[in-house]
Amino acid sequence: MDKSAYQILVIDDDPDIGLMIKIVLEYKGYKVLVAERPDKAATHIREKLPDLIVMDMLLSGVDGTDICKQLKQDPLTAPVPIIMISAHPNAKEICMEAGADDFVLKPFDIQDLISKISWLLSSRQTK
Amino acid sequence: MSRSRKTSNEVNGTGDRKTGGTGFHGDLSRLLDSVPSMVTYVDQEHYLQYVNAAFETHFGISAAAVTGKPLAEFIGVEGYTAIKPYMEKALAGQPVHYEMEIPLKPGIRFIEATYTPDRDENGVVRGYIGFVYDITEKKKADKIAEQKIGNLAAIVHSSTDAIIGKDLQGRISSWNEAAERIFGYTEAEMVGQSVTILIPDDHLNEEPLILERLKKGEIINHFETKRITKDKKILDISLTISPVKDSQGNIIGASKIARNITEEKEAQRLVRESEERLRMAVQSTRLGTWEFIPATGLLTWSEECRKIYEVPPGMEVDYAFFLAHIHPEDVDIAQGAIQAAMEAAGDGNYDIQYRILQYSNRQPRWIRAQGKVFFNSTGEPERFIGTVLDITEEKTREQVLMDSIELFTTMADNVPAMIWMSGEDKFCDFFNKTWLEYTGRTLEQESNDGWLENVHPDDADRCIANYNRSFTEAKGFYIEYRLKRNDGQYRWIADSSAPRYNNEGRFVGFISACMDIDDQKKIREKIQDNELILKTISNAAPVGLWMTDTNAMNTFVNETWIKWTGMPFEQHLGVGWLEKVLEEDKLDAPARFWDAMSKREKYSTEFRLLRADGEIRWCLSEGFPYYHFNGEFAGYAGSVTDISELKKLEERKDDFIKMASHELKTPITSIKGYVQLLLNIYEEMNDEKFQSSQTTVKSSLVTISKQVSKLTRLISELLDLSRIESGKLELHKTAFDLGALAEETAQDIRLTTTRHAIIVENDFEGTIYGDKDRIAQVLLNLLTNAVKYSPDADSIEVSVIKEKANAVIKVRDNGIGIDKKDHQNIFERFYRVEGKSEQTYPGFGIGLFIANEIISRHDGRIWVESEKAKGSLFIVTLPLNAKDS
Repeated sequence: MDKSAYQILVIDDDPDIGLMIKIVLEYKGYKVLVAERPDKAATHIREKLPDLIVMDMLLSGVDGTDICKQLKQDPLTAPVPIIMISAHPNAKEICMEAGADDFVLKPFDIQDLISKISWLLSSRQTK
Repeated sequence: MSRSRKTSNEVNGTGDRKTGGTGFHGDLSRLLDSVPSMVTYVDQEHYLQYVNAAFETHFGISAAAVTGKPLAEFIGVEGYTAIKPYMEKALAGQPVHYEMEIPLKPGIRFIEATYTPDRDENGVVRGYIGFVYDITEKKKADKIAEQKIGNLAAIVHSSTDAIIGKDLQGRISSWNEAAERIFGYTEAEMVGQSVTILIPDDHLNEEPLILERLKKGEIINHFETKRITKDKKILDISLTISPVKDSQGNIIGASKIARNITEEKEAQRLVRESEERLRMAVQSTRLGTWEFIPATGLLTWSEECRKIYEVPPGMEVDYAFFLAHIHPEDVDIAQGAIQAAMEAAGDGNYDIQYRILQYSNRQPRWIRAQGKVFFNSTGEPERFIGTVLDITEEKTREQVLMDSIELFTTMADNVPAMIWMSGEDKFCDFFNKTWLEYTGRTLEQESNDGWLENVHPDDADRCIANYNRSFTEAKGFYIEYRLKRNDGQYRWIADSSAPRYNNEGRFVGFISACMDIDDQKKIREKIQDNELILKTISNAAPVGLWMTDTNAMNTFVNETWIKWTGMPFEQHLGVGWLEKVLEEDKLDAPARFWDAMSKREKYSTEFRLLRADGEIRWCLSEGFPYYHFNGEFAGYAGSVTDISELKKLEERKDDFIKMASHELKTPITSIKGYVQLLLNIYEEMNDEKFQSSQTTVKSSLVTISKQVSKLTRLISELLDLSRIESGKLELHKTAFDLGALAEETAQDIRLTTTRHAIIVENDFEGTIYGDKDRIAQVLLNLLTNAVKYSPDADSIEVSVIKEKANAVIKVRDNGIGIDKKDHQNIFERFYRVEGKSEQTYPGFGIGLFIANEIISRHDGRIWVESEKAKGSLFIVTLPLNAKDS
């Protein structure tokens, strides 16, 4: 499947990181939307359900894991794979517990992020 | 002479001895010879002309020797002179009869003589015939009889016994002074009275019987009866009554001797009683008696005496037997004592204790022999009498006592304690060797209250007062005082005394043991000083100090702690101190303490304390077990530090590091992303125009990426360090495949190095339980180090194996190696091996510290085997059966 057919939603309150991920993923052929705030993200999701979400754990006072939990509890959004990112070394457990499909620790290797996205999308397709 | 002879012949005519001149012939001569009296014939010339056989016999002289010889020649001049007047009277024709004492040759004789003149046919007196009786013996007897009578009268008169004469009718005929004294009646009152006056009614029947016996001529000896006095006193009387006979031998009365034996009787009764008592005493004491007559060697032993020697009945004993049964060791003593007693110069007393050997079995027995030697007038020992007593048991008891005394003395002398004893008189009469050696004085010097001389003058009064009080109360005491030692130094003595009691439980003084406590006392004073110092320091310390007993009960808090809580000291004791600990920490702090104490480990915990000023303070309490000198656990001692400020500081530091790392990571993440994107873009560009600069640009970007990774790692390490220091390094343990992890990590490293071949030997199968990411971090650290410190080598070997209950990971490099002295230090925080070669290697020096912490938290070990310039081998062991802890 053509990568451009995939819509990836990046939620990060830090515009630098959001932009960096957007550039990297677009370079790799994905369609990318970046939301700095959860409410914006929600708008995007309502407009068009993304194929995958990359989300920072800390969103300026809002806990990304809570959003993750909500998305995974909603039957509509539950199938969407979520990769959480965080600078906190212990965050992985919390994120996985919240229902995230995978986790990358900041600062990450872009190759690591790309292969995880690629893997999740392809496995989703096979389902 | 011739005339006499002629005359004799004339008389005798025959010349015959017996006939002589007297002409006593034939039958007459024989007749005269048969007369018992002496017959002589003396002529006018005073010549003996005839003596008969009785004369010959009486004077022991033959007739031939005296006939025809002057009488004077025979009887001597004195005798002749004495009898001459009677001779002349008879020769003058008058018959003479006389008795006189005349000295005759054999001695003075008393003679009775009758001279009858002999006339011839013309009536002329020609001689006389003398009948002579030697009445010397008779006269003597008469004289004695006369004396006797005189004596008798005196005796009767002066006798202490009553002598009473009575006739056969019982009437009193005589009554002496003693009778008057005894019975109170005068002679005048009694003579003619019946003797029955003297007889008490209950003895009246005696008199007829006495009289009956007297009539038969019997003598009544020592008949003991009772008689009554004039003043009606009953007396004990001993009567001896003899019949009195007249000249014809008819019994006409009786002489009665009455002796007052009242006192004697009483005395006898007393003697009998005392004898009886003595006998019983002797029997009860098993006292043997003996008698020895030295002159004859006769030895007599009483039954008891024989029993002591176990002499069989019927066997004779003599002095030799006695000697043979003296114990050989005591022969000298025994014989010496006997000889001494028999010395005329001595008092004859004999008292000795020695051993004998019994006859039956030669068993030794101790005896005590006492005796007295009686000497005769010439000073020779005549009789040796005495007693013997078996004292073996007493001796044994004595010996036991002596032994126990000796044992006591030996013990007392050999104990290191100084011992004294006092008696009922309050005075000390015993000091053991240790005491005497200590004071350097003699027992005599110390006895009574001599020991007080060496007591320090300042302590003496106190000692005496204490002793007197204790004595009065009969109570043991403990006192300390200074006593002068033999070197003149006064030293402190602890005197611990106990009352002594005798068998009857009566208090009889004290026994006491004393120790030189001078050194201890000084130490004690020193300790007291130290305690004071310690207390001062403890109270001055800015930290709280505490102690517990073995049951975790608080026993001490210092002033600082008291100031914090505002509670009095007592309220802290036991678990009281918890009152001011915040509710949230009230369970945790003691629980941790119990846990540490059960393992005797260092205790360390933090809790919040409500201070008296209302502020809540963080406290760090730390303590260690402490032990008595004998190694016995005594409790915990520790401190409480107010770490509130530190805590705040730490929190700030933590916050800072977290913030810093987060703040750093955002730009780094961004940089890293772009750099990697650029690299990707670059790698996918195929324009050959860029070929020349391609390598340079690429290597720059690679370097940037690497440096960012390194920076990332350093930030992670800083964060880990902060976590380790605050005890908040969390582990997320799962079961994972260690071998696979090693392979993955090696693969990651391979991407960063082109020089080294990373060779992995994985013999590990299965999983271990741990924090996979943290273990990976350790492996990464070890491999990174291996690459970093072996710039000239080309391979690094990693092996993972199972060894017993452990998984073992070995990482070997061929690098610069580590000196042995640093093997421990490299696992410490911020430690970096010093040296020229090491300085060129970058790093914080916290990688191995974190690795060590991670491995320790997994109950594993990490260590290094290495030598300088010979490469290093890092070994990590992890337990296979680990579980969450």
